[in-house]
Amino acid sequence: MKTIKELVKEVNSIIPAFKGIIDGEGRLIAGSLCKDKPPENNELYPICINDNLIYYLYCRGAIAEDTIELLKLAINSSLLNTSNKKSKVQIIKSLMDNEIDLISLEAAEELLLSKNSFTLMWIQINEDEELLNLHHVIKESFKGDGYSTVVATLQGILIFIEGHKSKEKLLSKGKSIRDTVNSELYIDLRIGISNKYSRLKDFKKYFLETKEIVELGGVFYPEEHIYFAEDLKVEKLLYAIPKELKEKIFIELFYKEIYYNIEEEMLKTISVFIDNNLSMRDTAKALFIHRNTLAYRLDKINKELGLDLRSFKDALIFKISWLLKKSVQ
Amino acid sequence: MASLTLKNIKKVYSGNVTAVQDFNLEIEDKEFIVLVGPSGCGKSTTLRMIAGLEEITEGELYIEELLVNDVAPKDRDIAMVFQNYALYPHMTVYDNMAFGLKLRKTPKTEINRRVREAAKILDIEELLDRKPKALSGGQRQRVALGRAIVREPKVFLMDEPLSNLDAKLRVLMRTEIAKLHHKLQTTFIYVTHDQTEAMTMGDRIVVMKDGVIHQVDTPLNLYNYPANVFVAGFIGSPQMNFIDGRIEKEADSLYFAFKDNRIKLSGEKAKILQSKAYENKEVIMGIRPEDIHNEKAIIEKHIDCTVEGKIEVSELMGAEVYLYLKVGDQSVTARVGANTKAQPDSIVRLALDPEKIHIFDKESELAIF
Repeated sequence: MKTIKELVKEVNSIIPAFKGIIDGEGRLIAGSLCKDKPPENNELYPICINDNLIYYLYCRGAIAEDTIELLKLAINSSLLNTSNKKSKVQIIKSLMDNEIDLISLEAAEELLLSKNSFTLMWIQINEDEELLNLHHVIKESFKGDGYSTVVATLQGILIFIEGHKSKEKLLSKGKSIRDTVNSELYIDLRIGISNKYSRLKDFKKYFLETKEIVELGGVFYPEEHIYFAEDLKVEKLLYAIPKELKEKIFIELFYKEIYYNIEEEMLKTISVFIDNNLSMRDTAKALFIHRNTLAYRLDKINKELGLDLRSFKDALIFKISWLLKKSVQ
Repeated sequence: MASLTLKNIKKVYSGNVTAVQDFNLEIEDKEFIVLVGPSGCGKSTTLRMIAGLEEITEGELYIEELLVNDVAPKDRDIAMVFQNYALYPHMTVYDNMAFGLKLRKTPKTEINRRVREAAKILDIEELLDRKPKALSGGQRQRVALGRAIVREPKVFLMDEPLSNLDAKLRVLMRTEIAKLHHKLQTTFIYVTHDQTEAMTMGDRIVVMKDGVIHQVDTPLNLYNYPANVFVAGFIGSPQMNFIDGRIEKEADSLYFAFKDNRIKLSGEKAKILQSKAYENKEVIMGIRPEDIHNEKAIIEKHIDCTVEGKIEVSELMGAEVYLYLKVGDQSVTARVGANTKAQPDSIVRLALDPEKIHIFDKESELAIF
């Protein structure tokens, strides 16, 4: 869908007499006002949206009636689209603040849940002074995709994504946002992506949970920047345990000097081995090492930590103890 | 234009995850340097530290002799092009290139000058009024490069910018970027996991693994004189063959022996091994597929350097054939002429070029030669 400015420009290039659109108070919405020309040649043709928003087509001289009707239709549809977008942003802001009554909630669901479900994407940066520019970049990146509404807040940007989008698509969008912001604004960001929801009733809760994903990701995986709620379930559980209790559990169950002084190579081997579902073949390939070298390293880990990572139980113990350690730190 | 110095750079994330360590590198002004290595080797982290997008945990980074560890990314005079670039769908090519400058409140006349100059360099002047959807993949990639060029930076940082393109376009854009470097005469730092990209584009290549530099050299030197088994295996396609074996002495000669095979080593190479006391020691022998020959004349010439193998698969590549063989219990790949008559399941004799043999220490995996 074309923006109203683009549409006006295009119509003007075909019908030069058509100059633009003004609102009920005479403010220019799109086009030019030709202030230097005598006003008596100006023609105004009213158009209404949602029965209450009145705009005028502003022309220099009369235009054929049929042409005006066609113009009204095209511009009406473009203005309606803009108006809906504005409403969506306002409604999402109200939902974020939990300031919406039941009747409005029903209307909001009609407007925002036409595709039955939605996902939230929360973008957070450290440099507050770049928030406005970030908003510009994100808005332009999503413009006209037909499924996203970008909402700026004082802490970051929320994107309301209508309908079902696959994890790959969301990840690809997240990467694209990050790379674009990195290269345009020279700042880094973290992105949290929520689960899929189908109701707006608990929107504030969903919003806060999406914000929390970024916090969780930062604690457990600071080297990464895009986090999915569905990947951080265990981390969320561990993070919710009070700090003192976490420390107690860690010391009682898992504490060994080795956990604090674990060699880099060993740690990477374990991490890649667990990420590759304990597959010797895939891990050796991912680490660019021979399978025998991997076997040697796993034996060494077994000797030092007392955990045979080839068994699911021991791998789970290591994973939890390692996450607890990160969480405690 | 700028030179860069990275001194003892280290990156450690919380939780003691070391991404990069002991990174020392001098990058010359106008140099095209490529950081290459497998996924997770720290190449992107290094590039992001240069950009200022990642904090440097330890070490010093100088751009033109100025310590920039604490200089904000936007003040480092760099421009970046990343893998997942996205053009703004509703903006024209002109506006896509101008957008970053507009955000930085650059005067309109200056924006206009820079966009038109960049468009001229990239040969996309006639596309300035088009929207991204009306562009081909290659044209979009050029616009993405244009967004970086309009910054007029001292250093270009590129992180896998061609990875999302199809194979044909990737080859084309490789040449375009090399040409661009030539035109701009600016320092380029380029990250890729693709060794072919690295070999064809870089003045020098930095090979990384596990956050550590394994070798820095020109493409040709890396290929001919790899510092260790990892570099030897990573650079070159099909990759170098590695065979575990032992150095044995008979009469005055040294041999590389494995299973029932013995390869006589040339006098010069034997001398090096003797001087380093490798007699009767386990080593790894490396030989590139193109240094294994099946022509009768070469076999006769190097009769002491031949092995017998059973062909498992034969792949015709057009101008050449890749033979995948079993020599004893070792898998070996040979790259021979397309006129070979060798068929799968047949036994063939092959000669190893004695001058092209590499020997690596079994434990450290470092190259002896």
